[in-house]
Amino acid sequence: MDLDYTPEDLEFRRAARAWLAANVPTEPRPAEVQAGAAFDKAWQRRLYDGGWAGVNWPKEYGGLGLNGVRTLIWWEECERARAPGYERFTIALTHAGPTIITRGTEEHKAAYLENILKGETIWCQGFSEPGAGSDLAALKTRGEIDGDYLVVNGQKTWTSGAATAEFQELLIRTEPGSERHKGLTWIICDMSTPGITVQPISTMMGESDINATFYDNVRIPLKNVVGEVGGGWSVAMSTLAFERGNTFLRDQISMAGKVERAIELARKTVTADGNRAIEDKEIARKLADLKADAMGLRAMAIMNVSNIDRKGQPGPEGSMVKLLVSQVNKQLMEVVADLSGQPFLDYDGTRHSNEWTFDHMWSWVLTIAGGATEIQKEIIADRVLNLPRSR
Amino acid sequence: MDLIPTDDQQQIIDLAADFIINELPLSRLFDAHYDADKARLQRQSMAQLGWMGIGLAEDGGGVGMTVVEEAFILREIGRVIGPTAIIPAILAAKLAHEAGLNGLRDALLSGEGGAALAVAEAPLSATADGVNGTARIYNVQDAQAVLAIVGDEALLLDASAAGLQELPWLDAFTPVARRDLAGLSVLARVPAAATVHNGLLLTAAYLTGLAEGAVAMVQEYAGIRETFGRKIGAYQAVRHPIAEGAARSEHAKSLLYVAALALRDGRDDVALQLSSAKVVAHRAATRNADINIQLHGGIGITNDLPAHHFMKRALMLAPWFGGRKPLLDALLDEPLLTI
Repeated sequence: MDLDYTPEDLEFRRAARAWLAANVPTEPRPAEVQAGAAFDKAWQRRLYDGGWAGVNWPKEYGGLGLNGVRTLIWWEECERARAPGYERFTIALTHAGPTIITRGTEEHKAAYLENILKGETIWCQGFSEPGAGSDLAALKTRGEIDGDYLVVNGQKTWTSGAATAEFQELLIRTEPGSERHKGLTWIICDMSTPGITVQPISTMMGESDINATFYDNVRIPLKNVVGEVGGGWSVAMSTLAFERGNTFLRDQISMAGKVERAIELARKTVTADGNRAIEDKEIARKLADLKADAMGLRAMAIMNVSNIDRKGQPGPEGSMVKLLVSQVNKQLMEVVADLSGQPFLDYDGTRHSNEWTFDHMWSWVLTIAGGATEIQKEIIADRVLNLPRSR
Repeated sequence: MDLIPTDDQQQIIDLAADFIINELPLSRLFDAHYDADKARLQRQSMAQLGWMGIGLAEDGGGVGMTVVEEAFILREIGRVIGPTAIIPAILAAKLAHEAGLNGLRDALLSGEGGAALAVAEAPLSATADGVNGTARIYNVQDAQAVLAIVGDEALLLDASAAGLQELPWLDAFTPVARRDLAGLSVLARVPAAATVHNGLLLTAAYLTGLAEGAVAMVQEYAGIRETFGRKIGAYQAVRHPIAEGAARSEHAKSLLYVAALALRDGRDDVALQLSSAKVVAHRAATRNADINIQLHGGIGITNDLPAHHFMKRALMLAPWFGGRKPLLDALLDEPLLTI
């Protein structure tokens, strides 16, 4: 047990820090959908050209194959440099790509993986439906086999990035009359296929980068199926451990810095009573409490990468991280709203007009998307605690 | 960088857990009262395992391990609401060794005597002769010395002539006295930082164990107890709070391990890590004690179950080596060295 870095780890940190210092974009990510996607592609391409794309993808698929500790270092350095996050490449890099690596054919791997790392293709996720969100297995969008094609009809929703994505990981019901987890198929859908309509959904943040996606006789080649026709549920779940280990690592690491920025804000904000917000003991102690929480989240990140490096998979902490990170974040945003007073409401419908206000609203996205808080508790109760099943 | 105990460390944890299952099962607290003779025997059997001197150098009669192994042991003791007397005993043995008080040190290491902890009611002041001010004095049984933190000094006071009268006390398994410390002669005095840091770690470890023990207890009950024809663990109103409790425990445990390593290795951010660890562990212990009582229903408030002892012990440990408010006020300004 130790908190030490090897000389090689330190050299890696030095190299990452130097590269990020020279390459992190100075301009903020544009709020507008198309410009935002272009920014994400340019950043991913820069990572690729610099040799930093796919930090935890295996080397044989073009990634860096970093172990847990190096991945942690990478995200710490990204946080320090305020480097862009995955943004529109989240699905490609943390879900679709790893699923293809785990379950795809050689043809799939050759066709899709390198283009993701090069920043050429954005992927979106076609899982949730109006009647199947937390209860994903209730999904109804259907695919019928017609020769060498699956013909898809139905509707997906909450499709982040659908308007700019080249591809979609699509989960559909291909066995008529099948129920729940059976009869589903995971297929790669080219978003330029005729019959797909993307309709932006307006959100409380004012930005509209999530969408409803409609499928009207969309013909997708059967060769795009990953895994077996009818075996889609196991394909969709195959990267769960990967996600648990990695998706929230950046958020965990970021939280300490975010709390520190909120403390800075409290030091310089003059409240209605004429005092600095930090002089209010209630605000100061809430922030300190959240700083302690953030130290704990970082410790869980170290526990997480230790388990990955020692045992090949995250331990119980992997299932608990999303629950805790999103809750700590929401509490932090409540304190920031409290200490900011009326200027917190200065907001023109784009994130750059007031980053804290945007983040406040985004805190609900974090407690809902990717498995709502209530679903995270079900996962912990079922898989970690083995409590009697609720359903 | 590795936060998983080594095989040797895991063996220490497993041995401690084995001892505790046999000697200190939670069931010992069912409708039980404090028994001074039993408490003495427990102290002596823990001393025989070397627990009072785990982190003390071998040439001082200790086991020669580190604060990390101390934290492992305290976490296991906390799980079963074990005796807190080991916390002042570990710290006093180190101070006695440092001050050349070999007789006191050896008495503590062997379990022949104990050490008590003074926690101030109002600010204490130290003079050349001793300490002025009233304190609660925890774990007075067989106490040969009282450990007191006064400003930036840690003092060992002579308890032999103290006449420590036990008070009626919420936590019935901890004998506590109250008195003005004036008149107790000084056995040793050293700068406080090392003792306070060590004390914060041991208390955080104990609190982490409490948090985990409370969740384990209610988790077991949720798998047995039936209402409305189903096990209560199947109801989301029950399983979700337990899931949150388990997450709080894991959060506290991870931070405890980081804080223990920071103390062992003398890292620059040790104060931030230790303060954070106690704040987070105390909150976890408090909230998990709450769900343990609440989800047991009526039986949870009775003496037939030890659920209430988790709550009482967490309350009792709140001010040890710094309460929540002073810890929060201090950690707010600690620089972040990790990013």
